[in-house]
Amino acid sequence: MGLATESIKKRKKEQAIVAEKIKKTRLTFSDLIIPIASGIVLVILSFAVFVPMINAALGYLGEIKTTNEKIEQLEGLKTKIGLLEENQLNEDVLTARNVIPNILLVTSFAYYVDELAREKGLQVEKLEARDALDGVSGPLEYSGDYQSVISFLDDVQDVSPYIIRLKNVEVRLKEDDVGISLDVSGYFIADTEQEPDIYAPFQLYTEYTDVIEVFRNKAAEK
Amino acid sequence: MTEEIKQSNTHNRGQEQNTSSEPQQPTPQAQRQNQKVQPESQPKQKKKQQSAQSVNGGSREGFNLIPAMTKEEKVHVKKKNTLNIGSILSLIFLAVIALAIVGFNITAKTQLNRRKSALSKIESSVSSDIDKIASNNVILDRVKLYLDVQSSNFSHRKIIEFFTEMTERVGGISYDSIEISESLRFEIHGSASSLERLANLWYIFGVDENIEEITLDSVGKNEKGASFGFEGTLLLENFSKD
Repeated sequence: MGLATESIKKRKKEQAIVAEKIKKTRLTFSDLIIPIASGIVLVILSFAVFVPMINAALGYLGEIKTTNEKIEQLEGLKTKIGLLEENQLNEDVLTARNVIPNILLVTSFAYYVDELAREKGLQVEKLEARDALDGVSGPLEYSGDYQSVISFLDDVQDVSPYIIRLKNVEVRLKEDDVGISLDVSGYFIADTEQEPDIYAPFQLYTEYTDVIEVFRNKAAEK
Repeated sequence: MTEEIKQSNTHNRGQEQNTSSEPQQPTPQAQRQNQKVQPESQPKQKKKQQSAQSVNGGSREGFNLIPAMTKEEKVHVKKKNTLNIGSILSLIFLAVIALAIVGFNITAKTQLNRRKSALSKIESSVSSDIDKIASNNVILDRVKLYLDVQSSNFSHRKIIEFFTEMTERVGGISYDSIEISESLRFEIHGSASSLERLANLWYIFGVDENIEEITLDSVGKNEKGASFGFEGTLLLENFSKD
């Protein structure tokens, strides 16, 4: 009897020990501390470090793309520049500046027009020339026979060593002679001191060989 | 930690009975384990077993007081195990993400620096040819101006000859003046021998393909016949310079 009670007590004790052990192995809050803490750290790092870092990295990628495009553009530019022959280029610059000068002097322009009119046998009735925006313009009045006037109108633009545009041409037809009044504009391009932008779209002037040929012809007539 | 728990469990089932003050007989398994692990202590154990047997009233078979682990307990232990691995994994994940992002950032920046240095090299190389670019642009600007002027350029000679030809077709028409503007607007003033001829001229102008539009601006009858004034616009493509 006494032995049985003792064994029951022992069993209870054992059970208590086992229960204690089970309690110890049970999932507790302390077991979740690391995952939760790492999760919180991950969230904080995400907002404080990772997102700015990713943004910066994406910015770098964008910059890499732009830089690559620039490199490609400059390589293309370099190839194109390589096609230009230096002596020919210098010669063509002089020719182009001859036809469309840096500055067009009123006197040279008026002199050329008047000289042509005289060549065609026209009488000067009015000759004025003044500076205008990007050019020189002046009303002119001449008279002469019909053929001379027509020839003058043709040549003043075509044969001119300058780039010229006729405006407001009025032809007065009389019995024996023809009067003509017109505004003539001559153009010039003032060169800038600024260095060219290497990233600006580049086009080779040699693509316009026909125009360069016109320039050469005009320059030769001076 | 888990190992400890397992060990402690097995220990419970084997040796704890011995360590406890109770004269419990160890299980046969535990006995065998003990025999394997500690062969030198066999005589001692035998003595202990004998004393234990005497306490149990001479019975040779013992019984385990610690119940076998229930399924729930096993799940608990397993769960704890998993959760601990989960913590490690979460830390590893955190570290991997941090490394990946930092690595990505560093790689991107390094690559950018490399490309920038390549760009600066090619920039300095192109800059040495800046004079060529400037000269090319000087010519190109002039070419473009020339083309612009030429695009709206037309032959005044062709226009005057066209109007003269019209008078020849109708007859009895003479012009006093012909005005031609930059935009190919024209004004013609003149006289006709009769209104019929003027009407004929107007008709011819109206149907001619070189004229975009024409209006009879003024008309008057006088002793010589009729005076007129036309206004209109010519088509550029028909009078452009070759």
